[in-house]
Amino acid sequence: MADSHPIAELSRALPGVRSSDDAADRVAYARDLWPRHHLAVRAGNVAEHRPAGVVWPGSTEEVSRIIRWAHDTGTPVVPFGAGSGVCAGVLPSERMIVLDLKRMTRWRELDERRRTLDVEAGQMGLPLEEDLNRRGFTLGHFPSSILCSTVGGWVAARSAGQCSGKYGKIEDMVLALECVKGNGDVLTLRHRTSGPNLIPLVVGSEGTLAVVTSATLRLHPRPTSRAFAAFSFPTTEHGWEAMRAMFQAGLRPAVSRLYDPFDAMLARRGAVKKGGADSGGTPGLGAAALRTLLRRPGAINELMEGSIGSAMLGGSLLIVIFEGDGDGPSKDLDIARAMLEKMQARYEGEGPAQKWLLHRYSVSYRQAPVFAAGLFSDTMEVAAPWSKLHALYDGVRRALGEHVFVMAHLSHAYPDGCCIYFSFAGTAGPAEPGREGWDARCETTYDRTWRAALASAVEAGGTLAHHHGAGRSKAPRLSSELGSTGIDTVKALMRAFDPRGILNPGNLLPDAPSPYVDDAHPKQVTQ
Amino acid sequence: MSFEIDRASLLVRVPGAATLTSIEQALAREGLTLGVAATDDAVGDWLARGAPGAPSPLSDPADHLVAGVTATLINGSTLEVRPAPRRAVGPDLMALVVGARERFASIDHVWLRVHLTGARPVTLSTEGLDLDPPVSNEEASLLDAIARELAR
Repeated sequence: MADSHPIAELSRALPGVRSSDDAADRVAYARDLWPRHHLAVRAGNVAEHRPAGVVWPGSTEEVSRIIRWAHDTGTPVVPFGAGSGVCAGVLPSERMIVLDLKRMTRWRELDERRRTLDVEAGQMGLPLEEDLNRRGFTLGHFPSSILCSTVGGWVAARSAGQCSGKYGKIEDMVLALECVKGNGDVLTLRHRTSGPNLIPLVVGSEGTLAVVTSATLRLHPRPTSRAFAAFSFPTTEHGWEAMRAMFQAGLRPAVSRLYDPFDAMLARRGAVKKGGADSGGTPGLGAAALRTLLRRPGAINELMEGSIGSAMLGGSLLIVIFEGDGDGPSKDLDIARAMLEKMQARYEGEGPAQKWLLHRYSVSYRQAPVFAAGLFSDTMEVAAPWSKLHALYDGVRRALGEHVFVMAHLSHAYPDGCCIYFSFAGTAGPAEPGREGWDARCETTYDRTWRAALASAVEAGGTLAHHHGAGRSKAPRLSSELGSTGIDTVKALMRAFDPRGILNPGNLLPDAPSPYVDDAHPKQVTQ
Repeated sequence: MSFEIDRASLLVRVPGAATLTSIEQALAREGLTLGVAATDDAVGDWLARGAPGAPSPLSDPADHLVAGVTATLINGSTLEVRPAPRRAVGPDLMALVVGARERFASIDHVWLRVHLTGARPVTLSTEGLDLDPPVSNEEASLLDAIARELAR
């Protein structure tokens, strides 16, 4: 195999399997949407880490044949959904082939009585939900990537949707998984309440244990009524205490989103709408002014987080949406409102929640203008029990705030804890020897920002990721959360599922070649 | 036996040898409950058997029974999964503990979710769902492989 091209070999061994080693395809499949890749692209480095080629199987049987061939020839394989991951879970090398599952979109069985759907892994998110709606059902899973993500990708990354308060995350929706192990064997794992349940091992395994080919998902009746409300709070902490009270009292708003004062100001102004996909411009001030401002992020963060900033911006904002049938959602909202108004909440009407629902996916398309302005942006989603939330919020915010401008919202609450979603934007730091170029200096700031924030999250007792996954971007820090035993256990699982280690090798392993190097100097990952 | 109650998060950390009855008694003094029938089963053993009698996790998808665990693996090393409401950092290693009948690990301590006494239960319908299908030959074979690799 070493002397021949993997795609040519595969085509000879498996005639009829759709594949390509075209240069454009290899570039298109060289990466996911990890924002650090965008910096490389802006610097003119489109993708040095291109795969040998791409294969597009049309059935589980074909996936099985491809993986068996890869196992026999020792060819590494990277499973691929829609490529919207943000943690470098896809970072192939020239020895690897990418296995794109998007041709596998069939609904195998819709059981309307049990409310389950067995659907193939390449099914895209939005058409799935729309087709379910037409039949009177909802999956209840609305990640902001729903326009550019697949069922298989959701499973691989442990995705969360905007309605997690009622329907849970993807791991709470999977009743069975059909997958192909690293030796090509097809296996169906089933949810079991009181027996061994292996599904949680594959969900979140990011393509390292098995290739997910279909999932049996739990459905719910499509909601026929909704109740909307927004509340403002003097501080973000007042807001999350209100979320905690709701969830611990047994209320389950499908949506509960708490914005810090700056994020709340954007939500009140409808900035998402004005700065959406069609705007093409840079947000607010001119690009040059923004670059200058963001060179001193500490001062801006201090101003925005303090009492003056909070008063100036109008405090925090909580959006709540209950959904279900009949007057159930309204009744639940009445209970919630009575509870929240005893906790310094001020009712702001239905408007902000209605507006949010209307523009719920627009925010995901605001990144390109930021990069075009010479800046960078990213998001970080961490979680902790409620008792550690304050330390997590303060610690990560402080760590990020030394390097970048930061804002936050909390949009996935549970009875025992919550996820904090930090959004940040930064710019190039001072020139250093060997790091004089603008984009290289941005990379330095970017890497230092992440390193400090992840360390702070673990120190505060939080988890490194709530729903984006770990990928190669967070893998170097995984042992700080899982410990050496946890890492060894993950490696044991990899050996059990994939004895030759051909599935997405290097992902989720702290000791694999890193996309970073010490002190944030640039490096291409080619191993 | 000492139990550590995290009141803000509604979590309790208990030794695997503690009985459900003893935990429930301690929680009752704080106005809390496990929300399951109290028996003389040790909690570690009860969880290893899949927590019989506990509500299905599908009845309230935003909640869960176990938030974190410290367990001794069959290779003698100690696995610690810190409490978190949800995480996305690779495979969920708690699947090697809960419902696995001590095939891979035994519980030393566990973080359990507790409820305010009188809190409204959440019960989405699970009617018609097969929550305990038999273990297939393929799954049994994989369980064997995992045990072998963990023991190495």
